[in-house]
Amino acid sequence: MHTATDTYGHVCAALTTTFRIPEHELSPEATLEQLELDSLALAELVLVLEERLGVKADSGRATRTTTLAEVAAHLDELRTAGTAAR
Amino acid sequence: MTPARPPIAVTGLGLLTPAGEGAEATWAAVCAGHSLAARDPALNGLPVDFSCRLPLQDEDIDRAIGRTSWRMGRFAKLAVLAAREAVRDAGLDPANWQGARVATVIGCGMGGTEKWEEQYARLDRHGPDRVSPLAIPMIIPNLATGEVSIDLHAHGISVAPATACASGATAIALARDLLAADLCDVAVAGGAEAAISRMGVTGFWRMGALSERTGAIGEASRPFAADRDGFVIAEGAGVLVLERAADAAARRARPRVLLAGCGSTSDAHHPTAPPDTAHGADAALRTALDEAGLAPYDVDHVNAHGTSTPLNDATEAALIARALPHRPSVTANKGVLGHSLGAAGAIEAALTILTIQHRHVPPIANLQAPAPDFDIDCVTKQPRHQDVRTAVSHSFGFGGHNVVLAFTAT
Repeated sequence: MHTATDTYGHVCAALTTTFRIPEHELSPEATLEQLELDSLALAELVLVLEERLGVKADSGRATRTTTLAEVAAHLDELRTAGTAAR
Repeated sequence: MTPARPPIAVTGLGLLTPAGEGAEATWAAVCAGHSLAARDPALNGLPVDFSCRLPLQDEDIDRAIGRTSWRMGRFAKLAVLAAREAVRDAGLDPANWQGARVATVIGCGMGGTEKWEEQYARLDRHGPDRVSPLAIPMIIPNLATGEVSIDLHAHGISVAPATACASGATAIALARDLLAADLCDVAVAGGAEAAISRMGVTGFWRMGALSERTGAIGEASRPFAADRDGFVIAEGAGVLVLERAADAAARRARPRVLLAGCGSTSDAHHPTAPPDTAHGADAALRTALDEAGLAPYDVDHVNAHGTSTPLNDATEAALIARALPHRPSVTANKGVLGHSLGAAGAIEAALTILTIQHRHVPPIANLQAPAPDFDIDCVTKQPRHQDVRTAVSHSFGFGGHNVVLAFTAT
């Protein structure tokens, strides 16, 4: 089982480890653009999160104006759906 | 004879090698004269399972690079770190320089082979959706020079020569040409390579180029020894900062040495084997000396290509004995550091410069005495004190590329 907070934690962990973004820059309201993530970075972030969470994300849901909370919410829906399907 | 081009000053250098981070670490290791080869877990199960890797953790490298590390292949990271050191050493500040007049020329022989193999495995096992969008930028070999230009805000010409194991030396020779043609005021030039991958190592092994001394790894790289059997693959980066000597003097920068001449030729003979006569290497040496306004007997010291392969070392020793019959001292840094392919020419250029500055010639690792049929004066066992005024650095690459760089004391 997982929680929404747990999904947000995974997003933050990817950003601080893979992308070396300092933790103090991360907040649910921060947009990917504010974190200096370009289109290649977004595509890589989606791949990293898909692998960590075992879901297939819609990359259109992670754009430069998407907030971390929105990314986490989308992934969370997918995780819940994935669990329900099982 | 007068030099055909303006004198070029080397004002900075940076090294990242199996000896560690920074030029001083590498200098200390080559002077100690012990091989840095070690068993390599990434090569487990292969016929040759050892290499010379950087003694740094990925995390340390990424922390040093900073926030852009996620998008860089390993070879690009090494280039960026060595370039930063070189620029710092030159007393230049990318925040203030006229970036449009700064060229970046970083050679690379292979590119990101490890990433290529990793991503191919993902494609094969998990399908195209699991291939990283960074696969291409992490593989293409010009991304070392590209990332260096970004990191240093250098907007001048940026190019990545690929002349295999001569790439780093070709970069320095090309940078000299760019300065001589007034196409830039500062050139950040060198080579970077991180190609210790399973496929890369296997490919070199299949060619018969690698030492197979798996039972005595520390003795595997032994340039000019009678019982040498191949090279030991390595990784690293070496970068120099070059400026016209007059420009360096105008900003009161103290040159380490002068790059007095460069010779670049092609064997036009065979993809991987040198001709017996070494006519291309010979012409490169003579061109470098002609350009510098020097005669062969002016050469005090040779930093040899010295790969520890049977063929290279035999051909090169014969060339040195024939072209420089006054027996200048000879060293070969690959005994300690292994062969970092496209980076080697630049790393060895930097060590040649340090040899002139320190008046010390590092010994060749694992060499008691050169093979009896080699009539050259190899420095063995311990560093030799020598007042080196003029030194040449040899680099030869698959493809028949020959590059000789001639450095002189200031």
